[in-house]
Amino acid sequence: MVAHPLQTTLSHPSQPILFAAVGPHLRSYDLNTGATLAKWLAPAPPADKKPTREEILAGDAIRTMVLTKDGSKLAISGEDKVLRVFDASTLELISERTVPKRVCSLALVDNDATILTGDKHGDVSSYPFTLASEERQGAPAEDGKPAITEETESLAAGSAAKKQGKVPKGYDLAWGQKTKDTDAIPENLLLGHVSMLTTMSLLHSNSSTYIMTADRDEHVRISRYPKAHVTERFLLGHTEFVGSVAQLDEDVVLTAGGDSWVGVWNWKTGKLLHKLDLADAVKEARGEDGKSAVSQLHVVENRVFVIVEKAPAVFVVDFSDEKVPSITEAIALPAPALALVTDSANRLWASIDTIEVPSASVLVAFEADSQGKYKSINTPAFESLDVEAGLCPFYTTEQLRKRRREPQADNSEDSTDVKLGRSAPGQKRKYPNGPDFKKENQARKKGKIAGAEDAVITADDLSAEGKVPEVDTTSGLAKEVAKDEVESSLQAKAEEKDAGAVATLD
Amino acid sequence: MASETAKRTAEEVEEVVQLPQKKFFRQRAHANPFSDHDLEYPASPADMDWSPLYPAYFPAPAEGPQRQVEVADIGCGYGGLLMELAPEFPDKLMLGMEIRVQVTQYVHEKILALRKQHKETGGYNNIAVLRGNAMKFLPNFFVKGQLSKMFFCFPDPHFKSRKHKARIITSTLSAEYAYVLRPGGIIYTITDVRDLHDWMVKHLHAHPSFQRLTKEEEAEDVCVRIMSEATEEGKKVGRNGGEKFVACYRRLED
Repeated sequence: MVAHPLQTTLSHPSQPILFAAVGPHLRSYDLNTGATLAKWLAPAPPADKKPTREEILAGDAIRTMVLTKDGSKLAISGEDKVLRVFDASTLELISERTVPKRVCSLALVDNDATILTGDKHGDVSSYPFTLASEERQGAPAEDGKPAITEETESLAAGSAAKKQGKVPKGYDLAWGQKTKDTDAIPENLLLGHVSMLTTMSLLHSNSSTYIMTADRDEHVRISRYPKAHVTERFLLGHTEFVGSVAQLDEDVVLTAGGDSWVGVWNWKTGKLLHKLDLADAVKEARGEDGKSAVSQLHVVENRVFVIVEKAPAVFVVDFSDEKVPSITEAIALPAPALALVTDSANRLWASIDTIEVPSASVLVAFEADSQGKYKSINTPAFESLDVEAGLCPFYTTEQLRKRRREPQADNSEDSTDVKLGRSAPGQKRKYPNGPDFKKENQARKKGKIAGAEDAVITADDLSAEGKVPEVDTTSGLAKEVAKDEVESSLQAKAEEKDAGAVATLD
Repeated sequence: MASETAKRTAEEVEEVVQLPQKKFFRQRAHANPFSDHDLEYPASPADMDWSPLYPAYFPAPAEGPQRQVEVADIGCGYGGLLMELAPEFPDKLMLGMEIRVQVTQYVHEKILALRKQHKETGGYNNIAVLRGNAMKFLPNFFVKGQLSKMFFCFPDPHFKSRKHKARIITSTLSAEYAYVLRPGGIIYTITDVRDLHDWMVKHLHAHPSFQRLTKEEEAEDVCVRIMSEATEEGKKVGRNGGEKFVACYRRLED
């Protein structure tokens, strides 16, 4: 059997316990014995409800987890757009509520009183961590329904009814009563990007807290908290999406993503201090060339552990000295790692992509010896779930890369051409209604000037010939048909791939 | 255009400077601001080369410090506002940002033509146009607190509810505008759509760093008058006898 990998892991701060998301399953493991301490799975949706295409593909995988400082409560969220809070020791559900968009990152602030969600739409919202209903002992509610706030209740009920086609848009179940003003600015909306968020984490400096968010448009934004409307700084310099951000110390943060380098910044001034190049190390680990996105940056005091997609290694970067940081070690792994975490005993645990290499175990561990080198240590056997039961598509960050037109590699005197988005310099811009267009087009068609294939066959020509204007694949106007074919083939491909990372606004 | 051709001096007769005609540069009014559009933008403001846009000012001229762009016209359209503002503030560098390709080309060619026409006075050297997506990439062009004025003239109303998130002024985008605008800087908005005006007021008001200018302050500011009358949209609204709604906000200290 092929073990389902643990796509997200989280370590308990003081006990040797690991919380792991195995597809839609939530598990907690004892790291010393390998025993499964507790487990949880979302209840299956009602049988009569037909699952949507997105639900089938996403499989309700859990994407993000966060633990309170004392390790007593765990909050998770995933593809099902539900924010759940559990008792960490028993994995008993304490509360759950629906959130409007899929959450990519969670963070706890205000001494664990408030939870922040960074979602795929680009927004960061805040919610009270404990709901008033939790004060009541026992299960969330008598009839088994989750404890949800008034607002989410109307959203959830309204949208469920709408999906069934029972209620017209804009009205709630009571009919005749419009749902809340959809144009209202949500009170709990802290900040937003105009691009999907890839990650969100907290930044602590003196006694202030900041929210660091990164998006697909290569921006890293640092905003104050709780006054998140104030943007403190933008860290700009990446040329590809930013997938991970981490704070190293008081002044320094690290960012990485689709670029082949890790950025080391002084976030207070916004200056890029170093570009830590990973290309060579990744090429050596992979054994081949190619673009690889950084999956995660894991900071432990002065050391940063970097895992890169498709590379079966953990790169260790030491920041203790003043000199330019570089990769001090590349810990070999049986297969690329999906997540990295350090436990309470300072052991480094890597969750392995067992789909790539089925013979590998789901978790491997390393410990630093006296010289600071990392040696593999024995790990107990962990109960694993069979992939046959259902494989959750992974959030491969490579899909966040934008498909860009390759830049034209020729010299142009007028670089404004490029800046203004014109076609390649030297290529004459075709104005559909430009001067002499008609004359030019006629001349082209008659073969009087070069570029007969560029001639646009207009509807007038065809009607003159007595034909119905039909789609002509040589003409630029007729891309619609070709586009449809391409779209359907792309759709078929997309269905095989992980749909969770497709950047469509939900 | 007749008045502009009349400005031609005898020396320029052999070099006939023809201003571009709008009819060859018409383009659909709507463009999806969330799409990637194959846009060109610098990785950071330090990487931006302004010399093709402002050849008279970049690299810095012999006398005086290096100037920076101070005024941005977001969604400048056919450039009417920029053309009027240029002689009004000859010392300020102004940039128009427009997402549509052909419209940007029109404005660019018009600016070049105007610069040629006003060679001896050196007019219109302080304006330029850029094809860009201001919703997404404003911080890529401007450092924190660089701008002193931002104009949003007759933005796309995006009438449908589901399109409201594409409006150029939203509470979340206000944070980005507050970032590039210096304390004391002003955002000028004008529209003929009442719903959009209410929306912009609501969203800018929701951001604690913005304070609305009073009617008296609006009346004193020459930019408000220019904004109301100079743009192509503004003239069209005037011709049709529509009402124009103005809202200006000052950026306060954080």
